[in-house]
Amino acid sequence: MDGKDAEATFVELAAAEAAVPEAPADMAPEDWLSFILFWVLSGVVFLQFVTRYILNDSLAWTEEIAGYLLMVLCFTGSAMAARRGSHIAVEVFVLMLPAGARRYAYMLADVLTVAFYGILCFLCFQVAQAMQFQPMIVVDVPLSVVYWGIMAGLVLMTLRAAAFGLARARRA
Amino acid sequence: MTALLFVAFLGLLCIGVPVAVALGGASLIYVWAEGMLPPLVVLHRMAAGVDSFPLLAIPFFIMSGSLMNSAGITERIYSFALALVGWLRGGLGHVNVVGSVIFAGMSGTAVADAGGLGNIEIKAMKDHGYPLPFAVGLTGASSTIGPIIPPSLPMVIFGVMANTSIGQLFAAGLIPGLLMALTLMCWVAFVSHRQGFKRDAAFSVATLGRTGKRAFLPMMTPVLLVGGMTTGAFTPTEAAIAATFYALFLGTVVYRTLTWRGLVRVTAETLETTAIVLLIVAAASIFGWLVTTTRVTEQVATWVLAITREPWAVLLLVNIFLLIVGCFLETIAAITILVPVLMPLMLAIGVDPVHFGLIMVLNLMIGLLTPPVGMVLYILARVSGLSFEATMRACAPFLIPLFICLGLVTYWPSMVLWLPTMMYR
Repeated sequence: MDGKDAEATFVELAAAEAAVPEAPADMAPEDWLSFILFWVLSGVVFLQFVTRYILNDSLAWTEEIAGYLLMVLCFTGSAMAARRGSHIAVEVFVLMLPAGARRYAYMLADVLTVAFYGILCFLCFQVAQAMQFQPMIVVDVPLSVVYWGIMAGLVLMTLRAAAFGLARARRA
Repeated sequence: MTALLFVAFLGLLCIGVPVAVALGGASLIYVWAEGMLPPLVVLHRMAAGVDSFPLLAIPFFIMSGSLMNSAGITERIYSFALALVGWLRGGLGHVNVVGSVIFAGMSGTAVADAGGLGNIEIKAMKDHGYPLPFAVGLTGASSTIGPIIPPSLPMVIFGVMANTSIGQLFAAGLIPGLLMALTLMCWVAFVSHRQGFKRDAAFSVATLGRTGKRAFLPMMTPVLLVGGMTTGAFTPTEAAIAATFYALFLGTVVYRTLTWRGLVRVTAETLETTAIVLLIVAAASIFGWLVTTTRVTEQVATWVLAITREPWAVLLLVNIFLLIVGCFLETIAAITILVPVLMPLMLAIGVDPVHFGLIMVLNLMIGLLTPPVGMVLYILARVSGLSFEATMRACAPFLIPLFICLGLVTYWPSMVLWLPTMMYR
């Protein structure tokens, strides 16, 4: 032992970490939308868990609804990531370019990304319309509701990706 | 026509669009050019790809891990680990590994482990006179245990993509994960002996009992999760939701460390990570489907088997290939893209899908410690204040014990498959 108590070090470091005040989270509308969807989803999955173990028979609608909520959450959450520019990309090759060319590479990537999201919005509109009279499996609600939710996420994604791309083009 | 799918994908990927956009965009271009399917199939497949019960586990595993990290329990776990192994030579090095093993039982990603624990692990070791590169390298290496020991996000993705039981994959990870910890501890003992590191605590049963009691409630999370899932009592999704609510209970009722702001932040971070992963899975499900219908994967298998039919040689080639891919591609992206391509090959040489899952995930975890794209390296550089190059050099020696583990996992299938066959007969 070198004099200093290692346990005290851990207590000290943990206290220092806890003392840092929690900064207010940077929350946009899609963040709150996802926040609500997620906690509703937690409730639904928890209900299923409880009914399976206590009543020995899970409520049939919980599994289906949970799946749909996750589908919508995937796209609203992707809008969150698009706003922060945190979607995973392979940037090694772009970073190898000289600064001038890199700027155009970023612009090209952003334009293609926004175009892809935009096309997905359009395709989602088509799917939602096609699903108008198709009911869900257990619950008697048209499946199009899920696709309208996804479309909302996609529209937000497109807008956020465009804003992110514009900001990056200006910065460079 | 098939070439178009791959050329478009690689082209988009290299331009630097998000991986999900490269996968989905290439699929869209292929569907358009081929003209056999309506383009809306791309979106429909993407959305349907996310609608799976096992994928529901992902947000809850991420959530429970970050909740446990922010609920002020880190110090309790470390004090317990210190009482357990701190009396060994190079004590805090061993504590680093044991702490990571315990947290591995609560969290599912290496990146979360390196980010959440790296700070306290590295600072404590530095305070007690360990060389900074040793602390940084060890923290990086021990963070790769996280996704091997259940719960594990990469394993969930592998299970969904390969249509393999996630429960079995989880059970298969337990023994290799503990083996990795043991190998790393041997490495720490070896370095400590050579460099003359000291012991950092005296062994005492009283301290062990006291710290053990303080760490008891948090320790129940890994016990419940790992125990419940490997025995098949809980499905991974149920275990994940139970762990999330247990962590919420600890944070709000027992320790009262979780604030509303903290909850909002943790939820937002969880959802961002979840969505990034799920969007890749969504796009990979249309891409993978198109790849399978083109039968190109069978051609890949035939092509490799023309070089050699020896299973050990094929496994060696696949390992080398995965290590190279792991240098450039992020874990989840690599799994979603490569599972449909490599699975037929593995089945052709008679490798169990569960065994292959372990091989693949371990390879990609090692990739997190190698440049140019090493997520863990970036995090450790930020946490420790070392430069990226210095972090890289610090992690390099620890690749030796990790490669030893990779060799064992690859060529000793009965070690990997013993527990899952016991539990899921």
